[in-house]
Amino acid sequence: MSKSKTTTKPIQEPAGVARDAGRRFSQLVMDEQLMRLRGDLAQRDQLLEHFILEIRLKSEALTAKDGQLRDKDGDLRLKDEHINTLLDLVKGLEVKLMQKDTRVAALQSEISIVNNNIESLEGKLREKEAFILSQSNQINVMRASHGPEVQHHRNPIMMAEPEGAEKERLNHQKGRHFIYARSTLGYFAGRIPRALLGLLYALLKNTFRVTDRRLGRYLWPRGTKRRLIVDALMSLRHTIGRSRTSVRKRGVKWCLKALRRRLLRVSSVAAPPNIWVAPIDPIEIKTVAPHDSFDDLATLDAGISVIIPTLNGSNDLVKLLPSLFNQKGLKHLEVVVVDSGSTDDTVELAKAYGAKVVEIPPDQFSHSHARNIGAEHASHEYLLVMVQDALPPCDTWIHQMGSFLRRERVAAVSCMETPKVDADLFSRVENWYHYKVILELNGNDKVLSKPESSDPVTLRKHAQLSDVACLMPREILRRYKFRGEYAEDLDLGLRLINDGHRLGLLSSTRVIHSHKRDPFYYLKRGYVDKMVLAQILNEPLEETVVEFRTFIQDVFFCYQALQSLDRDVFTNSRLPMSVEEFATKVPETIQLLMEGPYPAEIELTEHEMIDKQSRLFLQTLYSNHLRDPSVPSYGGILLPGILAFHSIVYDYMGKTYETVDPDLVQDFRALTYNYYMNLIGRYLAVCYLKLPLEERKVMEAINLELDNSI
Amino acid sequence: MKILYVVHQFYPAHYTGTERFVLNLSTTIQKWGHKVKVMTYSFYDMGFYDSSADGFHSKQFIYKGIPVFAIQHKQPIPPDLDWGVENPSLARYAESLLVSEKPDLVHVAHPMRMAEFAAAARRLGIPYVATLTDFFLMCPKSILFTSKGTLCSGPEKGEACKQFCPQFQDDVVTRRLAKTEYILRNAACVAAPSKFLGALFKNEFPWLNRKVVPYGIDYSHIERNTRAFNGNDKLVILYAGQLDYHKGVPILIDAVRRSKMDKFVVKLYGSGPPTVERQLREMAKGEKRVEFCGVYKKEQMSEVFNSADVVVVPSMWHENNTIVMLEALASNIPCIVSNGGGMVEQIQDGVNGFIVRMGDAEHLKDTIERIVKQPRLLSEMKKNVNAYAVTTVEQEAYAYEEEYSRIVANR
Repeated sequence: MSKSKTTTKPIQEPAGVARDAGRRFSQLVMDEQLMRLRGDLAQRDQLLEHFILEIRLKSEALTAKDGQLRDKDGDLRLKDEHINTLLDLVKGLEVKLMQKDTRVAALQSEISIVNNNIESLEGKLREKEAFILSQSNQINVMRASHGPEVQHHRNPIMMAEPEGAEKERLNHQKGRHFIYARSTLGYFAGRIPRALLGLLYALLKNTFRVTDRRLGRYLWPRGTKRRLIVDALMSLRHTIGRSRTSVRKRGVKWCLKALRRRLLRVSSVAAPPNIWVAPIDPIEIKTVAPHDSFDDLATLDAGISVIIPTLNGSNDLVKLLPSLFNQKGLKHLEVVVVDSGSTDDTVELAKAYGAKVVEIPPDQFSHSHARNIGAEHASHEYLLVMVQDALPPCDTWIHQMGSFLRRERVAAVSCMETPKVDADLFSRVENWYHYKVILELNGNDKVLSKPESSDPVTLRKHAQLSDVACLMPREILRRYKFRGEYAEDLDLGLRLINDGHRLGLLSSTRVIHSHKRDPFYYLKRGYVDKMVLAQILNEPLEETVVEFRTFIQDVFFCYQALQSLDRDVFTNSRLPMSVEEFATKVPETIQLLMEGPYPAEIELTEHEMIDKQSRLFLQTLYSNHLRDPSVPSYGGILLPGILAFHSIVYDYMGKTYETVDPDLVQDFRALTYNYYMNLIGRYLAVCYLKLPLEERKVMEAINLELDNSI
Repeated sequence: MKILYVVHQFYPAHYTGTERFVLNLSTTIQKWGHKVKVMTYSFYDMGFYDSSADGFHSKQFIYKGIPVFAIQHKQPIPPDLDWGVENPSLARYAESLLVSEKPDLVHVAHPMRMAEFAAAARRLGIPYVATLTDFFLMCPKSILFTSKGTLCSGPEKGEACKQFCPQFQDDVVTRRLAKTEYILRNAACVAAPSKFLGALFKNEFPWLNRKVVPYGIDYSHIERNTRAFNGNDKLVILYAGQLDYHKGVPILIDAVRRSKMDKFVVKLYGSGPPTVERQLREMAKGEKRVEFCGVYKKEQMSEVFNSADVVVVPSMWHENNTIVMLEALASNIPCIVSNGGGMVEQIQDGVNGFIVRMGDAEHLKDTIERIVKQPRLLSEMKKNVNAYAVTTVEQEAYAYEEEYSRIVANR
């Protein structure tokens, strides 16, 4: 064994060994960790590279997509531009279309104007033809009755000294007349001496063998008076010869007539027949015209006669007549007043205004007769039938009605009524309900004709004609005439539509008219309405279940209920209240009252809402007619009828009022009592009509009292 | 339709021509099935009002069936309330009221104190109609009467005001006219009750289109006068209206004093500012031919007019289509009127009345004496009065209703 030099490590102490070991372990751990970290880092590098690669790929993809989107943007932009171009095109086409529409509308309006002009010209032509025909008929009649001396029927206007061109024309005519007369004389005059001359000439010829020319030149040279005489005589000879032939062929009478015709032709041309009557100058009315915007109103080429039946109407005529004479756009207007015994200054006033006045005895008056008489005295081709207390709303009212009549070629036109300022709630609600709800007139105009259905309600709706203000051609009224004592306008309307005519009903213009009546009037009106309309419209009564004795019970139950309503609601409510509250409270109260007992006794004392006549009527009804005591609880028809009518009134009130004040409550009370009496009248008529003829005497007194003209 | 009527004062405290026009028109329109309400300024005691908002007191009540909304400023009341057209404190309140009332249309009957309603309606897109009842929109004094005591024909863009009424500053006048132009230009319809009034406004605003709708008379209170003055009894001359200077009452009293005849009596109906009334009574002191009769109600009108032989309107300004004159014509009574304003459109001298020179007491005296001496003159004239068609309230309302329908349909 060799010995080497060995180094001897220093001997470490155990602590130092441990420390070294620890250091080496730590080093090893750290190396391991380092290696692990390096491995991780390497891994992460790889991952990073992988991510970077992915990102690169993705960004390339995005770039590609970006490019695609940009391309698409470009496409969209192109498409937008294309769409805009198309939109511009469409707008342009729309503008052109609008222009065309405007042009079409303008052309249509021109066409309608031309059509109107044509129609009016046709109308004028027809009128002129009719007039000429009537004139020639008159002339023929006059000739037949009076002989030849009336043939020369000169126009009084033409009798005046003509001037200027007219004078020349007449002179020329006269000249022709003279020439013709002269030639006619020559016609005859020339013949006779010619015969003699011919004889003389023959004698001369035979005796002296002289030719015509030599003899003529010698005996009566040209330019001499002798020549003129001879020519006239020769002409007369020819005329006689021709006349002889004519006389031989056609007779003397014919020749004389022919001569007369020739003479007349000259004189008749100089004197045209009567073709016009001097226009009636209206009274010069100074007016406070409501409108000043109708300067370009085309004149209605028609004459209007306004027919007004009157009775003590001077207070109304002072408003109505100036309003009528102030109407614009009319060619001629006359007023025919048919007075039936006025005791005030109605007749004098009407005459002072220039109206034509026809007076009839009071006992001959009826709404039909007065109007028919007025029509007979009317001069113009259109008749406007009115009542004395109606009023035109503006100064083109008649023109508007006349234009509608002409344009729509209806047989008659009437218009909606609008109430006066003192109209009570009842008449206003009636007016509103009738025109706006039933007839559906809200500023629109209607043309009515015969409906397919013949039920009374539909018939009445379609036969609407109101002689408060009704315009029609004269021949219509003269042919059909008003008839009957009541509802004469409805009757006329029915007959017209049954004969195929059409009626006009306007709400674009209205007439101002309303009445304030007491309950007795409404009682009678209800009665007469039912009686007459049942007849005119064949209204069936079977549906209305009413028995007289039970109905009397109902009348007084209702009377008591209304008294309670007065006390509980109308007098003691806290006012003002809203319309809704009022419309709830009143029917609730009535419903409660309907559950109450029938009254044993009724006291019909004076009541501010019942007039004296109505109270007396009810008292008579109460004392003279038995009531049916067997009915246990209320099953009548009056209170339900009043409830139904009230619901219509609440509708009207809701449109017009926000609150109910004491004045409105008073109005409502009056309305309730008026309607109550009206219903009584209606159902009494039904009771009467349902009774067999032999049993009607129980109601005869009622019938006599109520079935008078109103 | 719901129509809101805007007026500067209303019944029951005030009852002159404009108020009567609003009451008649609103009543008739309501009777034809439309909702109406009157928006008015008022001067009641503070205890009268029951609510307040936006610096205003207010109270709602019903006058003869017409709902009324009365307002008044809380203190202080603007100093230009009675002559200014602008009222900025009212602008917001007016707008809120219009929003709550929701009218289809506003009808401005008199813009004094209430012109902001027109502006508020414009802002809210609610159409409005303006009726020119006097010259307020052109003249702060309303009557076109200068401070120098002469009649005026219009502001002439403010130049006339500068010269004749220097108490109104130029900028105030200019601003006022600008507001007037704004109100008139934006109105859906401008109406005037006489051609004269319309013509004066047209003079100042040449672009203005106005419609003439004369005042209507309520014939339900009219009874034809059948009196025949025969010279044996005293001639009864009726004056009905405001007792004020511009109405010519001093001229009338002066004319009576000048006359030595005792066969006539002048009855003065109406009331006026307390100071003026006191002065007029002082002027007529001891004069038995002048009687101060107080105020009459609408229901008493027929009785009052039936007791008169002739009605006198001796106004000293461009009197418009005065309702009293129309009521006289409707009652078949001839009128003595002064030669100014719209009255001469209705009266023809010697035909249905007499025209006297404005402010000329001597001429008025001569006319009265002429009637007394020639009783037949009056009865002849009464026949001619019949020929004059006086518009009824229904005809007036018809003309306005047509406009309302047209405006609302075109809205």
